[in-house]
Amino acid sequence: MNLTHLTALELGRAITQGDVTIPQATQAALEEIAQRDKSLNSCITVLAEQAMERAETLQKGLKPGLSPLYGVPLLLKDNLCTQGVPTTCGSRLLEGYVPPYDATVVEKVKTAGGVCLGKGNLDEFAMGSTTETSNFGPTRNPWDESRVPGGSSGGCAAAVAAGFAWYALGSDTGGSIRQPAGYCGLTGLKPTYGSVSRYGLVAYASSMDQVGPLCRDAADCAAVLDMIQGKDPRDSTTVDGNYGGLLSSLASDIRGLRVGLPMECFGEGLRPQVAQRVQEVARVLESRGGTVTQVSIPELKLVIPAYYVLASAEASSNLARYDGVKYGFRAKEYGNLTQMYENTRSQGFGKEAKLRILLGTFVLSAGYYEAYYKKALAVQGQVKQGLERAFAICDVLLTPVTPNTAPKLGESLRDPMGMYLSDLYTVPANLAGLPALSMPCGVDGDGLSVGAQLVGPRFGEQVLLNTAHAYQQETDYHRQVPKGGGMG
Amino acid sequence: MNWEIVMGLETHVELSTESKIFCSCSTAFGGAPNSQCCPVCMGLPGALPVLNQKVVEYGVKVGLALGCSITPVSRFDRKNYFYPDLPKGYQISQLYAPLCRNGRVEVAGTTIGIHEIHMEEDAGKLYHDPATGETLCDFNRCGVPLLEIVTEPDFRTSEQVVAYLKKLRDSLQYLGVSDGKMEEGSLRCDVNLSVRPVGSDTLGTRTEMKNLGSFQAIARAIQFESQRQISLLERGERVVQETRRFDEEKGETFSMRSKEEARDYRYFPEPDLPPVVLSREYVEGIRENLPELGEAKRRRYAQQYQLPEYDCQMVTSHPALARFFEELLALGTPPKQGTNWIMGEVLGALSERSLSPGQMPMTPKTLARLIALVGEGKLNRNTAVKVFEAVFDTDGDVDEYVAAHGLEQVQDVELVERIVVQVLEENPQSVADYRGGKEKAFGFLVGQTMRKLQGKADPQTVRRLLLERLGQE
Amino acid sequence: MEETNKPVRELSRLARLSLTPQEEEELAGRLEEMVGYLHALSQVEHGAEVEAPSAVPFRPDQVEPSLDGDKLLNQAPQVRDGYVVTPRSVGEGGAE
Repeated sequence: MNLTHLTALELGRAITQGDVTIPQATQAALEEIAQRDKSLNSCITVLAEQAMERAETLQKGLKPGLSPLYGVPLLLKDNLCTQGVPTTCGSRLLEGYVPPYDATVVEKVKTAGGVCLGKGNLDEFAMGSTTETSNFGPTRNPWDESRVPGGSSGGCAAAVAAGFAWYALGSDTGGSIRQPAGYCGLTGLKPTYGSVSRYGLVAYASSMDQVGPLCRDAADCAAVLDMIQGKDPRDSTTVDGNYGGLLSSLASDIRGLRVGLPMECFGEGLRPQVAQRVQEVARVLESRGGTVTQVSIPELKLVIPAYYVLASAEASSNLARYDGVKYGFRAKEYGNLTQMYENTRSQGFGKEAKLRILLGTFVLSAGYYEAYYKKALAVQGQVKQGLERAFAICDVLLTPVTPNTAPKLGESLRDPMGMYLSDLYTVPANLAGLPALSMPCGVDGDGLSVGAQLVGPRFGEQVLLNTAHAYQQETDYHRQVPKGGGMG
Repeated sequence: MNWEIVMGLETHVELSTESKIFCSCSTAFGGAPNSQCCPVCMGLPGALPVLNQKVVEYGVKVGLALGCSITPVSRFDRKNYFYPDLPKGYQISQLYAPLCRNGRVEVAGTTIGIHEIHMEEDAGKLYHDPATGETLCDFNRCGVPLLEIVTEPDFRTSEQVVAYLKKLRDSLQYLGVSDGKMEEGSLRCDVNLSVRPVGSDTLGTRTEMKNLGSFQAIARAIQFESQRQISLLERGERVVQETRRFDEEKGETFSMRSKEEARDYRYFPEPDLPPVVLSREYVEGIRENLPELGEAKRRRYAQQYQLPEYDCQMVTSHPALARFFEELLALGTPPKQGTNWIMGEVLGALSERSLSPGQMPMTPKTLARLIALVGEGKLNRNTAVKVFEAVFDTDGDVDEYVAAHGLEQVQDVELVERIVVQVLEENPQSVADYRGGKEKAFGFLVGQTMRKLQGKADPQTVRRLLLERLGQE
Repeated sequence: MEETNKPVRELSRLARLSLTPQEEEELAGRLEEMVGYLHALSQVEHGAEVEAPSAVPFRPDQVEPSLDGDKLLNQAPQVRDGYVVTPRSVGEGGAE
């Protein structure tokens, strides 16, 4: 049995049945990390000793009726606060920062018996699509180490793909779970806004950030969502809902499912091979009883400018607290308070963060708020309406995750505008607060993973998971493992 | 030329909730530095605000008391600026949709419009360390709930301003939402002031004055600043729109920063807090349960109890006093007796002990009993005052004290009469002096009689009997 | 810079960032490109904003223990006698 490439639920069952012990699984993962993460650089912090101790404790507590993910080791994106464990957000500004509390999702994972192996690399403060803007160096794609794993949850995606962990919790503001899942051949899900607590998730753009799973298949995603979804009294933006039961209700019967293909997501800029793979997904879904129709959502035209206005505006405010006063990095040299602020922030933030702070400051500044911020809000409203209209006639929307496959390291840094534009398909779900899932659907000519995205209506997680599950019954792309892994 | 002063006020009110506006830390004053903080109010990465329902309730109460309309869907916004007392780099406040709008207050014969009332969080406290030239930050006050009450520019005199603030403080105290203490910073007032020629209907350039710590400082600052602006304009110069700080010692205002440093707060809707949605039932429920405020009480006391205006003013000067007074009445104390005792002995005793009316150790029941004993003729007023002093701090039992110290008034008129005869016999010289026209001698005879009776007789009776006897012979 | 844009220097001052001349040039160029792209928003009509899906939940006014002061202060770059220390704040100006 190749332990590190089981799905999380398979490992959970093996643990329950006594085929594998939790320390064995933890050990196997830690060995993979020790041997191969030097080149991948997927983890900022590895909790080798802590994880083994925790595994031993959990093994002793093994009994019937526990979570299906009890004892399954995982990785946390390093923008989720962990009590007593450094949380850096990939930034020099939080180098050495140790939170005094756990994020709500971290608490939930611990309560369910998760073993945290460490903290995954990310673009600085989750601002980026390649994990190259991290202060701790870029992460590489385990499928092709000359390429990026995507971002900003690139460390988590690379690690799960490489067999370092059975699943990971990432965060998604404009595609930061789905896009790296797509580039690394994983199944990832951005939940309905307000269904997962953001308490303890270091904010990038609060109105769109959402924590979600990066997994090997849809069933694992269902299990993780069951664990982390729920209203949280500490996060006022979480809402009541009928949470739990996604895994137990998981079904592969999609007869009568209405699948919509938005024309706007298959136009200019989309690589033909990517388009082809996604069209093939439509055919598979049809073969299992779904009906596929083209839909038009012209409101999607301005999603990128609207997204960058809103996200940068919120980011410029969310990142104001990193000022060298209360925690984290402070510049060594300064003559007065203003210099302390400026030197700390200038030395502490990387270029991408600075750009977005400046952009956000601009769109909120006197005289520009109406011209940019208010207009972006109007677009957001239109996008919501356009998607609602589509969901009146469809159950899910099928789109590519990105127009391309994983670029080479450095490529996106040379063409940042191109990188922003490639968020075109993932951003609408964030603007509208809808759930969206990314799943692997084959490879391009270079053998690189192509991702398909399913978008659902509010609280439509079950239909997304069922659709992906049905697809994964028919295909084995999600079972592919990069070379070099699987030593467990 | 004759000039008119035009002023508007921005008043910050610290609400007396137990916990902070967005987290469960205590709002208590005077804790050790940084001992009342948590991830939320310290602005730690990942922490999120959760709104204290009491802050909304208090805000609605104040809004209704000031005649405002309550916004059914109000929102929080972020005000962005850097300062060490602001841990998140922004203050959560309300700009675009404040909790209350369009109120009005009658003050000193004028109507003052209330532009808006909004909720926000307080900042921390900074201390300058002269030894090192550094700033010390205490974040305990971060997140203490504030209401900011913004008036229209309807004030023309400093008397109106002070009257408004007194009335506001009075309302806050009666509503029980703030202690309204200016000296402790729970009521902070900024004055926006401009001047214009009398008769003009356009507004002049205004300045904003901060750091006004007392009613007196406010009146002095207004006096200085209006004169400064008038002098500038009369010299043909212009007023610069700016923020000015009032220096209490010098009695002058000073520019706090130059205009090129104008702020750009980049307000935008707070994404961490959904809108505050208040139903009509909620607002009406609060309206129905609003307490009677000081002014209404004063009017009612004057009408219902025929009390002088001064008495009404005094006993309603603090809600605890008014409550005390009303409880006295409920126990049967005649209204005028009640106000006399409150204005005299009660306020005297409180001030001697530096206590606020809310900290009164004596219960209305005790004072009511004391007043009743005087009314029944069982104690004379002077003795009663001594008893009052003796039982005030411990709320001791009046009857027990009187009995234990044998203070009941001598009711036996014959006994008093015997003593009077005795005193007259023992003091023939004084009797002669009195009859010879020396009024002072009469006082001496009263004193002698009271002494022999150990002060327990009714002085009126003693006087009457003495006069009778002196007139007879 | 495009005429509708604020100089990068003014923005960086507002954001408390001091940029090297090289950084300033590079970020100015990228910002100009972004802002040019965002200009597409100008064609949008102001529409009714979409209502938030929920109303803010209320917390009861109850005091819970604060965080241990040491846990907060041990993260601060400079601390003295229980206070967090910064260079003198005069000149920055506080809230208005």
